[in-house]
Amino acid sequence: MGIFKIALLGSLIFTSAAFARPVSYTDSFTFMTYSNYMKESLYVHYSPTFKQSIGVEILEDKGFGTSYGLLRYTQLLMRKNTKNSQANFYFISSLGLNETSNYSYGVQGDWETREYFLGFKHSQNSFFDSEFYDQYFMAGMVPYVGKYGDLHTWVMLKARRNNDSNETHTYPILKFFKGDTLLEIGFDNRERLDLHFIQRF
Amino acid sequence: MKKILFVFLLSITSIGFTHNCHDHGSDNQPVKSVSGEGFEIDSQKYTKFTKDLANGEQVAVVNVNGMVCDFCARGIEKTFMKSANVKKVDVDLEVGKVLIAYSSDTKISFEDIKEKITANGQTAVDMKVLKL
Repeated sequence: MGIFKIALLGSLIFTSAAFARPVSYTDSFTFMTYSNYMKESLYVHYSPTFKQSIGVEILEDKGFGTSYGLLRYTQLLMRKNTKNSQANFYFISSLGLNETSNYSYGVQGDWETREYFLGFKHSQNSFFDSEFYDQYFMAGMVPYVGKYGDLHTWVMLKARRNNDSNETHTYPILKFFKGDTLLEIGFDNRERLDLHFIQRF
Repeated sequence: MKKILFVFLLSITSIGFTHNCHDHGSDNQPVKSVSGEGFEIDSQKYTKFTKDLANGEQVAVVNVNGMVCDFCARGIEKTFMKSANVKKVDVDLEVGKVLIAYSSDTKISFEDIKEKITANGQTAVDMKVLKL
C-alpha cells in the first residue's frame, strides 16, 4: 500500500470519529474542525430537517500538501425513540468537489442512553483510484450522569478496521460537551493526539 | 470479568437512581389535565421554573421519548422559544419531561407541541397543562 494511500485512509477514518451524530436538529448548522499529525479538516453542514444534513468538508493533508474538498450528504433512515434511549440508522455519502471520481457511501448507526453509547459504521470508498472499505465499532459510558447544561463527559473505546491493513486497531476517546459545544480527544494506535471540535448553531 | 461486573453494578445503580428521581411531592395547583399519566414533577424544579411567571399563565408538562443528550434538549428549547407566546422552556433529561410556559391567553394544542418535538427528532408522548 502506498504511503499516500495510508495518509488518505488515516485522514478519512479519523475524520469519521467526529461524525458520530451526522445529523443535527431541524434548521441548524454544525461547524466542525479536526486536527491530527496528518491533516487539518473543516466541515460545515446544515440540517434542513432532523432527517438530513448536507455539508462541505475541506481537508488539507499535511504530509503531502494536498488539499481537496468533499460534498457530504447524510440521510437518517430510521430513528427509534424510547423513554430512556435513542437509536439511529443513517445512510452516509460524500462526493469530491474537484474530482467527482472520489466518492464514498455507507451506513452508520448508534444507540444511546444518558449513560451508554454503542455505534458502528461501514463505508465503501473510492479515492484517487483506490478502493477500500472502512469500518468501526464504538462503545462508551459516562463516569457520571450530568444534568442538562452541565459539562458532560464520555469515555469511549473505538475499534476500527479497513481492508488494506486487515488489522483491527482499538483506541480510547474522551469526549466532553456542554450546551452546543463538543470537544473530542482521541489517541491513535501510536498514541498520537487527535482533536475534534464541534459547535452547533 | 471484573469489567463485566463493574458495568453490571453500574447498570443496577443507574436503574435504582432513575426510579428514585421521581418526586411525588408536587401538587402545585394542577388545574387542567389534558391527557396521560405519570406527570410527577420535581417540586423544587417546578417552583424554580414558575417563580417569575404571572398568575394565569400556563405550563405545559410534556413527556418526551428520545431525549438522551443536551443536543436534543437544546433543539427543543430553541424550537419553542421561537414562538412569541412561549415565556420560557425547561428540559429535564432525567425524567424525560419538557416544561413550556405559555401566556394566559394561549390555547395550548398538544398536536402543535407534538409536531414541533417530532420536527426536532424526538417523540412527544402525552401532556398535562397546569394553570398558575
